[in-house]
Amino acid sequence: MIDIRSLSFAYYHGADVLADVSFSMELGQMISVLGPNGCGKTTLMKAILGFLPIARKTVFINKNPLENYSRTSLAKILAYVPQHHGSVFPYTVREMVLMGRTGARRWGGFSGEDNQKADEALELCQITSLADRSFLELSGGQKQLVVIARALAQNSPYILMDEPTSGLDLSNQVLVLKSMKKLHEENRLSFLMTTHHPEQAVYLGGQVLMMKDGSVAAWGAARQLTTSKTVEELYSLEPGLLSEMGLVPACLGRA
Amino acid sequence: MNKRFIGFLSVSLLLALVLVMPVGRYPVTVPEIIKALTAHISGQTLSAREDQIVLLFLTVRLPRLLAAVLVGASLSLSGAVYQSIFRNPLVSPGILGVLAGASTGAAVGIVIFSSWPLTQVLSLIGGLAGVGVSLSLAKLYPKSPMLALLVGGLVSTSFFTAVTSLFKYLADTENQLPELTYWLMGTLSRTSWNQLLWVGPFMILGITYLSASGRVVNALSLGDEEAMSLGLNSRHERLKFICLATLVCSCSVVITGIINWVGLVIPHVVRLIIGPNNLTLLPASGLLGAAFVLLTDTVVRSVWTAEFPLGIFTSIICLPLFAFSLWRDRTRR
Repeated sequence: MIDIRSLSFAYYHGADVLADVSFSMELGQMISVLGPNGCGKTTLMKAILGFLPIARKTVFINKNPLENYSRTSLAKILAYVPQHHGSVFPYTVREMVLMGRTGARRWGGFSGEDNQKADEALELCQITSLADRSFLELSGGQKQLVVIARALAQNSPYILMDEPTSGLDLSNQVLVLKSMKKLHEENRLSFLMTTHHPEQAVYLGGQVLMMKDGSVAAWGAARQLTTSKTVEELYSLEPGLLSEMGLVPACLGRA
Repeated sequence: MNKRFIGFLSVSLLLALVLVMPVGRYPVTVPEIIKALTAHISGQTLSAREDQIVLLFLTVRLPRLLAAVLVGASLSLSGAVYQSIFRNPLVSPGILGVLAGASTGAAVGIVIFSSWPLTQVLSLIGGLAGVGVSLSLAKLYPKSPMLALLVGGLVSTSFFTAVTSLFKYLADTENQLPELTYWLMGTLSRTSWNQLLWVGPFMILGITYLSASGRVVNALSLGDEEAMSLGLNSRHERLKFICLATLVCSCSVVITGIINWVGLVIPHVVRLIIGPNNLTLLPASGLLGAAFVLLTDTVVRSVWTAEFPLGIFTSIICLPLFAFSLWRDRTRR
């Protein structure tokens, strides 16, 4: 269980990017974090992953404070799929996925178990056929699936994804979202995802955390809470503007 | 394929070591060397020629061959590590200012203190200062980190070269200046057991540790956040690898002076052949670098009557090799 209790954070004595954020994530849950640019979505994710110097006893993982975890032990619980991938070298897809096993052992080659986990992850993400291709040559959607497979090979129960469909065309967005939904429903994997697309939160189901100015604006079941009205309020749009412009996706409620 | 390539390189390096043993001004064959050494070890009485062979092999050739292997492996391996952890395939110990900084430190040790342990420590401090200046300058321009690191390295190299020049200017023109100038050109002709005993163990430990660190270096090559999410304390790990790579480079500078390009070109060539996976790239770079310096040094000391500095020849050979690897890389993409 990930438990966030009154989490606040500011960069270099600036204004609070996160202000008194609290929520919990159970094993097997799907949570989408929605909110306008600069509302603190990515900062929240980085705080949970231990990338930021947050106050003690504000983030608890399996009832233990985040600061009690070493990086290796944290990696066994949380996996991360970043918005942009850092590889500058043409690693093969298999090599990228095997990197998910770094926390398991640091020395020598890959064991039979490492290779087995990588094979399973490639299969779950349905990218076994890409195993020998260069990661740099793949489409955006395929790259996301590779990094999701790497997170699966890491064998961590929680996967945190920062805007996983950002910059992808429609077919690649569909590819990633369908894979996430399948992994969540069939393999009971837990996803915490930030997104700018309310319709994606509705499609994936589970819970939605709406954030505004660093605080939690609303929290509830994605399919009930994500309506054109709440979305307009969240993004400070005139009431009815989305409908007027014909921009309300069919899956959003109109209440 | 990759494991087979490492096996091939290991066998080639061993074969090259055996084949270059008899090469030099004094004509001798491998069986003669083996026979003389066996007799020497078993305590038999040696003939005058055997005595000469043992003396030549143990005091001149063996330390030189070992030094060539260690220097080549150090430069090439550390180049591969720098390229991966800085996520920049264009950096190398020479380009990052490590060699220039280590040379300055070593020059201070030679000119002022004339002490091997102190020269080694000062060389390491100089090497760390060299890479430290490059990184600090690169951080001032975060918009283009790759380019900034190259320019930072250029400035750092220029600065430490200037400081070394200052020491050359101040050095005694009769003895110290020619010695310093010749040493800076890169040469293995002055290798001694004394040097090897001081720096060899550090180089062997560093080379072994770096060669076996492929898994961690792979993760670091993805950037800090991804490396952290994969279970690494990336800042601590990165610093550790910078120090280790700089240590083995600085040790190589203590032995040979500046040998440029090996740390840039050899990892490029290896990456072209077996790909970027550091699990195999690191040991393969070390092995190919060792074989490259060993063979180049053998050519340098045996083809002409006068011995040319090794550094000049590695640069001449590496330049077209680097151009070829860039061209090949471009045509493959």
